[in-house]
Amino acid sequence: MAPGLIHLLESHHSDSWGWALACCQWQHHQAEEALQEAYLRVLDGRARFRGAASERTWFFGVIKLVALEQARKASRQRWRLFEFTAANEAISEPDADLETVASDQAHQQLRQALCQLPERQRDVLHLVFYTELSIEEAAGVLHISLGSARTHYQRGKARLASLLEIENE
Amino acid sequence: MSEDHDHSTQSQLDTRLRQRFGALRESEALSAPAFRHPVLDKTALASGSKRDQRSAFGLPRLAAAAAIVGLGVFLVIDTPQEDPAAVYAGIMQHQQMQTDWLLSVSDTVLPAQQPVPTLYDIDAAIDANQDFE
Repeated sequence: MAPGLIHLLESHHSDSWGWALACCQWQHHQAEEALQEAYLRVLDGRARFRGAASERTWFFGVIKLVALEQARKASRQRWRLFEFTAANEAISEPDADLETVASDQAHQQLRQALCQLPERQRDVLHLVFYTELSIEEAAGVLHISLGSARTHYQRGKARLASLLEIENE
Repeated sequence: MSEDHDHSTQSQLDTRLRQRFGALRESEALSAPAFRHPVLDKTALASGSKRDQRSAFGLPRLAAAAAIVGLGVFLVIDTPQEDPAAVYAGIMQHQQMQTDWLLSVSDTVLPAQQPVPTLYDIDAAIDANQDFE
């Protein structure tokens, strides 16, 4: 196992955590699992860096992929539970953990506004404004074209500004 | 002029969003779990995916399976061989006992003793008929 790889993961740990939170819609426990699974995949060779982008961009892509897989699995489990009970009282709300994570009202407003955006717009905005990637790098993380990323960026920004202004009034 | 205004508005918006996202980033960085070595840290494995949990439970399962197989082998070896004649005699005796039990009737279920009805004497009837003729 390359010590350089461990060092790389550790140096981006804070940003990776923020990105995992965004991918899991700020559900703390799921974000933690997604991040650990992404680390494991990188270290045991299931996820390999092929040099197409920067290592940081590539690792964010791995986190996104793991989070998507977890969300699909959770969705299937919820559906089985729904079929079994014929009611969805037992299904937890997607942002049930939001309250526990949000310590500041402004941050909570921003998270809630982001959760109202379509997933692509939310992801692009988070990668650009939070992680400070370029739009091109964000497109690489999400495996979409640059044109598509720009469109999501512009629309998402306008919508987010609108949501935040509405909430601030 | 209008383009400059739009550009300025966009720039202001970008700045505001960057500030808000930056504050969020700082806040979330404080809540980040400590970086744990994902492979060497067993606690990370224990809280990890199902696959990892399965591997963590693999050894106890293997030990339990080996114990069950061992017990089975011990019982097979340890069981004494019975004499076939004795087994046959036992089975037959058991059957006989069952049969006897089925045939046995207690006093309480015996039918009540009834007087035997008068028998019709056919020879006497024939003789009587001849006398009549």
